[in-house]
Amino acid sequence: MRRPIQLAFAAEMSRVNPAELPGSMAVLGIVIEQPNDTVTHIGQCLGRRFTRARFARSTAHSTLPRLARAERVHRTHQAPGSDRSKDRYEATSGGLEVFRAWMFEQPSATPALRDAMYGRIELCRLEDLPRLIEMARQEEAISADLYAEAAFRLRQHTATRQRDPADYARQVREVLLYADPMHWASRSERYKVIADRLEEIAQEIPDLGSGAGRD
Amino acid sequence: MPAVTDSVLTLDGVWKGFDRGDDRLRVLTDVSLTVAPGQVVAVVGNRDQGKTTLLRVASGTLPADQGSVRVGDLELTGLSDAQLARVLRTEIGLATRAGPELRVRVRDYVGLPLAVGRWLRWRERRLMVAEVLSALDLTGTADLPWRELSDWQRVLVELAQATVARPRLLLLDDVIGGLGLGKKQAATEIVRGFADDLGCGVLMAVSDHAAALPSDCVWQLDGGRLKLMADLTQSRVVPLHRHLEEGRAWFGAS
Repeated sequence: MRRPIQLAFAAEMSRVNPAELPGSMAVLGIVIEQPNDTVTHIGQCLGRRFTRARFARSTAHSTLPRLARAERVHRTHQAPGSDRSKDRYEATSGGLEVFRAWMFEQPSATPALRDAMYGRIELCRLEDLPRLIEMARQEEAISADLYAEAAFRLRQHTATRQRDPADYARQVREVLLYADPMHWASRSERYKVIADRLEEIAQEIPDLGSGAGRD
Repeated sequence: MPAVTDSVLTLDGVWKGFDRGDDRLRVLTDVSLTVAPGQVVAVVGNRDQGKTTLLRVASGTLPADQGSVRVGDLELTGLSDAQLARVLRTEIGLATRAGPELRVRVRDYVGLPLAVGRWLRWRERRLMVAEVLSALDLTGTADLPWRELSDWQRVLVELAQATVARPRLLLLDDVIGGLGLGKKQAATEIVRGFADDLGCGVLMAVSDHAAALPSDCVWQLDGGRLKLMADLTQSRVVPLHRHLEEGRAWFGAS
């Protein structure tokens, strides 16, 4: 009888933005990977494995009891006293199924048709064009800085890691380290193209051309 | 008297253009950059943005219209052909994707920079070639003709030829373009190894960012001008929060 469970999942999943990584899924994923681990250790793993997600230190402590109430995990060991950090959990079959449903849901199921810049360009009035160009330039600069940050992260990683052949986990993690700079570079390029073209349009409009753009 | 510098390559205010009928096509506009020993500097640009021109100017094989090009402390502008040929032989390793004539054997192609203008015995040359082929895991291909090599092997052979004479400056003209991401990673790490182990400075022109990293410095060549994308020699991490907040402020919290 898988169908009712899947319907429940569908309701649960609909609250989750598919493009984001919810804390509950990250915690559940680690519990599946490391069953019967302590709450404290799961919290440490969360911080180490998903550094950039900036989960709160208390995420594992608050999420695990909630997942237990929803029967996604169950407690395999209750530590004596009131300190719950030594409790241990493992995933239920329902939890496993929720996790796998999230894992294989297309992260960009809804294409980015509601891109903020797209809407602003569409609704831009002639007199707003110079400010819109400034915004596109600013976004280009922010993306370029984030590119530099991602490139720095990759550089640090390659400088400090060992030169021996990478194991599976390291290879998978390195894919994102290499892909992130490309993402920000392409985003920066996109806003550059937008700003360049809007500037060209502004230059062609008398009275507006002189005030438009950065240079 | 030229200033003493720590850089293996210094381009300072370089302009370069080509005559196209009555017009002058400007390819490089006020380009300045430096490459230090042990440093990998990448220049990213689309096709026809002037990457090859930049590398040819950097090697001295194409004279700049204006500006200064120095390899170490030696100004290349104004050198005679013989002096320039000597710099190319002793100081610079150049790799392109051109490759040799199809029947040329790997061993002979890689050894080419050692064959001209050097007082090396045949045995020494052979040893140096064998060493670089072994370092790049190419020993098994030494007697193969160029036409029988895979794309990946051709990249490695180009790198082997460029480094066989242990140059101070390595110029790579989009050598790893066209490879898949995994191979690009592997190739850039080999290049990184040249910089770390041989201490040479590397200037590489690439057509995408996947081939540019991990470098110490990444420039974008666009419309003939260089724009600094990342200087990773500075121990600097951009405050991510500030940018995200800035971004949200621009686009509104939605």
